[in-house]
Amino acid sequence: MESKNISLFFLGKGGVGKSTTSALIAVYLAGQGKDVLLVSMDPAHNQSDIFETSLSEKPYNITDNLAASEINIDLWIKNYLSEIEAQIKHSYSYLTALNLENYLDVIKYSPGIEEYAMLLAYKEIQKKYFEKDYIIYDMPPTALTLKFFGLPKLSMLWIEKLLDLRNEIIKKREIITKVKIGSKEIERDKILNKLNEQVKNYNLISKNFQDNKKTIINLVMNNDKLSFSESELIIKKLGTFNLFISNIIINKIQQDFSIHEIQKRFKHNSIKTFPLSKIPLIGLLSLKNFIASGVLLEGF
Amino acid sequence: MKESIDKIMRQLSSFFKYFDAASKNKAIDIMEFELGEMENIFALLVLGAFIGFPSPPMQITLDLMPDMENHFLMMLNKVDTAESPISDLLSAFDVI
Repeated sequence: MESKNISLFFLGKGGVGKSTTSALIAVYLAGQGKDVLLVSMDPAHNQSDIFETSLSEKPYNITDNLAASEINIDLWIKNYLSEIEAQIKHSYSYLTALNLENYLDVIKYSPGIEEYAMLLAYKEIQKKYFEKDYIIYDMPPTALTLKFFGLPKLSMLWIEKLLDLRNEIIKKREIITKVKIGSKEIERDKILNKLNEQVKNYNLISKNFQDNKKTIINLVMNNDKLSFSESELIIKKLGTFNLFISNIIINKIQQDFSIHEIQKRFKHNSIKTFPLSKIPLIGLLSLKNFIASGVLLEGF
Repeated sequence: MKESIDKIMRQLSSFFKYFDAASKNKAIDIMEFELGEMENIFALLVLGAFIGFPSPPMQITLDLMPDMENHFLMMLNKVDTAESPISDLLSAFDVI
């Protein structure tokens, strides 16, 4: 079913305050009467600490219309591999399946599995909680987040090449069958079907990511040189996937902060600022008090 | 006289039928060899990670693997005979 919600992603360099910022926006939107789900994709899982409760995959109701959950990526990897292993054991002959067991054991350490598990979790959340007004994703630090956003495009490059070759193979096989038996092969190629299914999946995800009415990507940064450089890198890299940052949030700003330099460097993005809180933003009450202190959160 | 011509025509027709079938079989053999090589390239592209080749994002391999037992076995066999690719080719064209 088509989801009606808006997904807000919060990403940025480690330690800039992604989790706190996403928690603040979640509390703010819930305060505006919206039905909000806050999802932590970050393995560091700071949301449990921020809301002073032990969160899990199952959304926990923080308020009437704000729920939060933490995704266990390792569990998603384990479940995905178990499913593949079961399919292989079912469809392969006994000896091949037996010989493959060692290979399958190693796969769980393959690079790329983590971001795919995140993509699977994202798909499931979008499907399961399509009735929410907002789903807010607290993302892991830069490297993994970029891999997550880049995976559909990278996968499509490979799948398109594989599809071309598969179609050539099927065409040749059909000619051989026609000459030998005198009729065209009617049996459907399972591999082709799976490749087409993957194309459909990745196109849907890419379309969602690129639809700026459905997906709003927020880049959180601090007013320091390292944070600036990494943010520029993130913007550039996301641009190669045709994804654009909607808001740049300069977090933990202090009295002597000047927005002009930042506006010059990030002239194509909307810039928002969050002041440094005098007290640690831990607990729902602290978050609500911080919002009530006049922090401008409009536009999310 | 007419009978003799009919007989020759029948013999000629059967010769050409045989010749046609033999040519067809030969052409099909070569196409099947080509098909086998294409399937092997497909297997190497998808399952290359298992024999140290660059491979697509792992989930593409994993999603296709349940339907690729034959490709898997074919690829492993090809690895065994990889040192003598010419012999495969010569066999396909009946050179030796």
